[in-house]
Amino acid sequence: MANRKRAMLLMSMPVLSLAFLPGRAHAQTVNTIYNTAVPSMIRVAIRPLNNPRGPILWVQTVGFQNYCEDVLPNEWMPSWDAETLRAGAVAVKMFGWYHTLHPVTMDGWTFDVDNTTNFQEYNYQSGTYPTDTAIRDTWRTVYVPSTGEITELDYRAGIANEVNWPFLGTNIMSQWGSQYWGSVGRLTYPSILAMYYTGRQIRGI
Amino acid sequence: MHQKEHVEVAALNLRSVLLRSVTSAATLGLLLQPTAVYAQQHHTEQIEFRVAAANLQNIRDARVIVIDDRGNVLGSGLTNGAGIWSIALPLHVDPRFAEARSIGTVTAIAIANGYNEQAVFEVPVSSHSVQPIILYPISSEHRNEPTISLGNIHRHDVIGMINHYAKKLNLKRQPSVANEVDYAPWSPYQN
Repeated sequence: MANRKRAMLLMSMPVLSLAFLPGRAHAQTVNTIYNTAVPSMIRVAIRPLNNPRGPILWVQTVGFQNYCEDVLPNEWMPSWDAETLRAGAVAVKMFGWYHTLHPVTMDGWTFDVDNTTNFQEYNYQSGTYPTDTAIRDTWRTVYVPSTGEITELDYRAGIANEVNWPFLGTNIMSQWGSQYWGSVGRLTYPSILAMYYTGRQIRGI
Repeated sequence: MHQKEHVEVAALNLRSVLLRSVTSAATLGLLLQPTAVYAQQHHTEQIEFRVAAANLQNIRDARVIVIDDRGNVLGSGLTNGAGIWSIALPLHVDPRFAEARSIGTVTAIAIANGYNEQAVFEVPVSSHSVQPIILYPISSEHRNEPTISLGNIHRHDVIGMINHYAKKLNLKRQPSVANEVDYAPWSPYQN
């Protein structure tokens, strides 16, 4: 998934530094929850109006938990089921954590993620009570393979108000599907995550 | 806002909805459901404006002005020490987003000493509404004109709006996209 994002960014930017090429950084390192701490900060490249094709205006360094709190309400609806929001909270955190370990450099800017759907949509100061609660409730929880490797949990919107069957077992969570399983299926967040991501399990950190 | 002003705002909104209903065949049904219109106009949602500078400092005593789609001022106030000002606004449902959920839209203006003004268009009014506003400091090296931004409308509301109108025009989907699951953008061509 990371390579796909890199390819997407490659298409959008004419000039790239060598550091941006896949596989040059961290090639020998396997980061796991056993040898890697949860980051305290994350570098967010800010593009105007959250436009994925917009130029980078600046890179903002923010607290990692604040970052997750300012992503979740923009990716999952704050009015959705609490277990759905918890599933989203774990995905948002794992996605961000993975990218702090795989930074990119572009046009002289080095960053971990940007504020758009190239990575995850981020808006400073947009946290809401239900989504902040979901982030806090799951802050000491990760969803990883048995090796503990920190991997990206990717997701897409899916089709509104539907089950989104095609996403099951694809390692891509449907946001609307997660809402179906939380609100109609009454599943807990580990069960929602298990519908989409294979070979992973809940772990405490 | 005084009670009288509330009543006037509600009456204006009601008149606006009725006018739209008359001019749109699609919404003529509303005329047959006065109770629904009444409920729509009297339901309120709390919206929280959070004003900060580009360097992430919260801005105290920033004035936020909220304007409806008829140009009326719905409310105005100053932010607290955390850069926050809240207001309960009437939920005047914006039919463009009705496929996803019931949200309204307003316009906001933020003004603070030491900063350029900002107009924020399409600010969503819904449950759990939060609208961050990032102001830029006055600088002798810039023109210091007001800036413009868009309201924090949720991605899912935007997707829902586009789906609604694409289906209404009976558009086709484009060919499926590699690595996307069960998804392709809409095509300009109709079925």
